[in-house]
Amino acid sequence: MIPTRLFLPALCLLLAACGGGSSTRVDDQNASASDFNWNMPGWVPLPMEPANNRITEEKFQLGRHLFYDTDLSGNGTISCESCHQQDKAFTDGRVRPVGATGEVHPRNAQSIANAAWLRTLTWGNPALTEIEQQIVVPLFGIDPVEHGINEANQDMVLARLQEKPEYQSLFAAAYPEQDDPLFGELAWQNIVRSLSSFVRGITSFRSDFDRYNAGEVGALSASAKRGMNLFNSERLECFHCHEGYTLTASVRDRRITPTVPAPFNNTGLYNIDGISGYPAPNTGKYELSGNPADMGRFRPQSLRNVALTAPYNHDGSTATLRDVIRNYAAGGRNITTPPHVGDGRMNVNKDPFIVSFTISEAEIDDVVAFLESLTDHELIDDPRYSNPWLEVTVQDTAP
Amino acid sequence: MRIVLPALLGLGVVLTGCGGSSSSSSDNGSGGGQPGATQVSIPFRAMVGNEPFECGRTYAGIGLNGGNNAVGNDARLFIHNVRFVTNDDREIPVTLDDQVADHQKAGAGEEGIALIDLRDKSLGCTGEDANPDYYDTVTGRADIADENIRALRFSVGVPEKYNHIDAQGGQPQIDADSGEPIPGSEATGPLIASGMGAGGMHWSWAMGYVHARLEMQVPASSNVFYIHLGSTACEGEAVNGERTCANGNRPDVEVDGFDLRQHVVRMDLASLLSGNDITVNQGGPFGCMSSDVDLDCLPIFERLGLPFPGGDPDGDFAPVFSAVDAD
Ligand code: HEC
Ligand code: HEC
Repeated sequence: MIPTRLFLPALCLLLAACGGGSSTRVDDQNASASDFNWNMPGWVPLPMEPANNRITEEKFQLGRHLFYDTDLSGNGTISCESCHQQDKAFTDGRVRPVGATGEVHPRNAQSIANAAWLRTLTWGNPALTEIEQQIVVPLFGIDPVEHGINEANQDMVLARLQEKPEYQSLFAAAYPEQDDPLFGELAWQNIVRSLSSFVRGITSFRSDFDRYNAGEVGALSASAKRGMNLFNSERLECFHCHEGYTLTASVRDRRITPTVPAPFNNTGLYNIDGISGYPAPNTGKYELSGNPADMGRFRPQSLRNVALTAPYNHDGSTATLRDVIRNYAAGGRNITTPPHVGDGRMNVNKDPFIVSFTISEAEIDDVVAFLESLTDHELIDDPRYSNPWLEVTVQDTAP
Repeated sequence: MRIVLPALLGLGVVLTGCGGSSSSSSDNGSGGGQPGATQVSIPFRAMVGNEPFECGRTYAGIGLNGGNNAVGNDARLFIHNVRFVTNDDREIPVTLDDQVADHQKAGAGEEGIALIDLRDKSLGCTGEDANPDYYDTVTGRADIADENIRALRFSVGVPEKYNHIDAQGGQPQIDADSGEPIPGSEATGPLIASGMGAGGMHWSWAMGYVHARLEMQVPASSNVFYIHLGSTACEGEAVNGERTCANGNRPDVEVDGFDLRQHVVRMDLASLLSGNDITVNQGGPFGCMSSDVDLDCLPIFERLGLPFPGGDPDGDFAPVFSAVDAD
């Protein structure tokens, strides 16, 4: 059951509570019953999962091993962890990450905690609606190369995994219905599905903000409370896009089937040549839709753990949270030095909620304090999500 | 499946189970086709100018400005809607067989899809092993026994109906209103992406197939000049079978004068690249990955007869696809 006191009216924590036909409530069957250890408070509604990949602890554990295994790359140099590190809420601290062959990714690495609730994956791609679809992109993509697995080396990569004793039992446990899940035809599919299960199982709802919502009024500092009120005010308008229990409007769960298109907004970061351009290839939803109105539209990010995920924005072009807030206060970003000169405040695609507002330095401190209260300090050293290969090493070297 | 050895190329037309000329043989035997239909085999061959395309082989004079050296790297394409054109301009569909499950999806029109893989079996394209997926001859049946054929036509790529299905997991698409699976929307035959997408003919980022993947490596810079044709400007939910693309980017090709008894279909990468300086990247990824703001695509799209902003799809260029003698 979901205690109603959790839901501050201004936050619209439940989409359904926001009124106005943005979603359909469906039967709550199975919304909160699961054998899987989701590692989260009971009030959080369970995420969607595809019919062909129901989560199990065994798939989750196999996925966890694969996530941290550099053998799962063309040249054995990188793993998912290279760009998604637990101590940084599964980001990497870099402006833009580098793949196995040295290619720089055009976008900033995203946190993958709570990815299970997102309506679309990645910064600006509306086509990737399932984690299973997204994960093949870093594994096999060539533009940019991330893991660098391709037709020429995929058998070799698989052979490296097949040699490891750990995987014999992990694959067998995860796919008991298959004769030979590690050596058989479905091996790659099993890899993708278990990685998806691990990602789907990384949840993060243990912040001070959550404790406050659960009734611990002292969990937020006075400054964070002021910041929360600013965040939810009609002056700052933040809550329109960073709303609900995941702090993003891009949310779906087992109770609610959204009937409106997945959200993408232009926040006025660029306006190249005064014709509302964003620097290629980071054109957001436009990259795939080709619709000029989609230029510069990106998915509203979840702000959970955002204090751990600097630098910010789709291309890592904003260094600090204070800078993010200043951009919003200006109603966009006016860039006066090359290469991307242009006044983002005047971008024609800018969302109507990106309005300029005056804000004092003390108020910025408060908003930052609120954003910091969204940090789940247990996430970053939760052994459930940590590198399992390290545990093995420690055991091996113990006398 | 290793069906067609390069040696068979020399035969040009392979009339399976008939062994006569295509104009006289009608099918009475091995099942499936419509009665009276002739079994046909249409061989494809990748060339660079007059030389056969080989992985790892260096070709001189490729592209604009006197041309540059380029090394064969990839030559694959999907085709569908294969048909013959008669002298009086009627189209006669070829119903592809499903004899070769990994390479052909049986049917005519947009149901009949073949994945043609013209990377030769030498080293260079796929690394250590000779290419087990080599597949150069489309087979099917067509009612051409009593016809005078003047051309072959086909479309390059995966038809829109199948372009956004789940290539990785083989899940059917689900109708958004009824919640029911959409019949026929499960990936079969050549539409099953090998190795979950490592095979390179699925464009996972855009949730669609790579219609054609033609690549030459440029030794001077060690860059690969990619030509990856795929549909762009797409919207709608792929999982619900609602995704459509404003730019299909599926060239419809006519191979004029094609005669089954003596010809193969030549796909010429030198003609395709004749409008590009392959040492220069004019935007986006090196070469052309179908973006309509990547200027490297302009001359390539023109030569494929595809619309492109500022390009001329009806321009007069040496054909990329043509009929040449099988020898
Ligand atoms: C080279 C760095 C790199 C590697 C390696 C990498 N990622 Fe990512 N990841 C990124 C970047 C950058 C993004 C944002 C992608 C975009 O917008 O195009 C991202 C996005 C994601 C997302 C989407 C998160 C969201 O909020 O939508 C998930 C899930 C994800 N990665 C999981 C993985 C998994 C699993 C692996 C290992 C198979 C992996 N990543 C490997 C850099 C990387
Ligand atoms: C119109 C919707 C909208 C509003 C209103 C909005 N945001 Fe955002 N927010 C976004 C989108 C979209 C992005 C990603 C933009 C990009 O990188 O191009 C984003 C990014 C961010 C980021 C960076 C996240 C990251 O991981 O890099 C922070 C922090 C943030 N917003 C905070 C705020 C605050 C604070 C406010 C109120 C002052 C606010 N947002 C108002 C839509 C919105």
